Amino acid sequence: MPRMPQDAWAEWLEAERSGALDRADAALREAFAGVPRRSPAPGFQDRVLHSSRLPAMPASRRSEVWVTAGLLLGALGLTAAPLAVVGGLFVIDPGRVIAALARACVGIGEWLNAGASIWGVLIRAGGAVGQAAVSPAGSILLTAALLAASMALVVLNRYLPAERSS
Amino acid sequence: MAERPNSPEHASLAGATDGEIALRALGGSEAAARELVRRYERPVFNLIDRLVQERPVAEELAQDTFLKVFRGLHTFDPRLRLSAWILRIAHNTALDHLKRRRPVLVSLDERGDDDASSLAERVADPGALPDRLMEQHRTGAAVDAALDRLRPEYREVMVLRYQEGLEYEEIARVTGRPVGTIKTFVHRARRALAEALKAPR
Repeated sequence: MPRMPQDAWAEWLEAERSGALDRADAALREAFAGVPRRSPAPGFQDRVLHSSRLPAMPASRRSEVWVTAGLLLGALGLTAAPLAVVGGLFVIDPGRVIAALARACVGIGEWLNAGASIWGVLIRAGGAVGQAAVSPAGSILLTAALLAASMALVVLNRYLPAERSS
Repeated sequence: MAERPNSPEHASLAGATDGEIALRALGGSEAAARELVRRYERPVFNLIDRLVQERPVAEELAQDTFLKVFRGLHTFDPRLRLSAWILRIAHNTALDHLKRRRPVLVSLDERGDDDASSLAERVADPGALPDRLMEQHRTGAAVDAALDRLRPEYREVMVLRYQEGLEYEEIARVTGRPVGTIKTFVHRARRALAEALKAPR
């Protein structure tokens, strides 16, 4: 009949009392076989693997590449935007651009003078956006913006948990 | 594509050594990574939970431990024991948490546990209860509770020595303490455990 852990505990206590250290050590090893290890909640493996995204490149390294690329693109965009405006002045009739800007400034000034209500501003802005959206160029721009925003959300959703956990 | 636990690759990993598992996980095998977590989730969680004594926190720290293991697999030397290497990461993760956390002082007298009656009484009269398996369970619970009443460093060496079966040198590597200190800790921890188990509570 196999020895019960109680016997090992008793032997260990007895060995401790009598100062037989090696015997106490061996008995305690045997006795501890009956003490269960504590376990994490079910699904622990899935949670670890989900947050680690192990294969190929470690998540933190891969997200580093994405973040660097995003920062570079953003910096390039910010640098190129004013140049594009200035360059555009040579292609588009500068007179029309300046006139449009002046009209916009006058409009804003009129609203401010008249005590523009928030609803008035919203209706005008909504109208302008609506007009832009129904034009072919506006639709393309709006679709592209929505796509870019969706992709940004997908990327954030994928990489932020890995960043948080690291 | 995630490989499930019953996939052919997973079945072939069941008999693989720790070193082989580590190498395959390093190569990007999710099945190997899963097997690695399966083998060590309990030792890692058990050690951390003994140290922090807060189950949700222990689970979070155990998860952090495995993330660190995966990120650091390329630094692992396959000639060494994987278990000791992983437990060292678990030890450091738990210790970092304890350093950040404000110390919480709990009086030992406040820790109630109905199962933690005197082990000495029970082993002295094993026939007192009809079912010895029930007795075995109660003994396990009593030891579990008594372990929690030891000092954290004693708890740790007891778990590493008697539950994980590590040698003194390995415990020294895991905890970053000299072997002599570990031997002293184990000796004192054993005496403290014996005292805790003798005292009816």
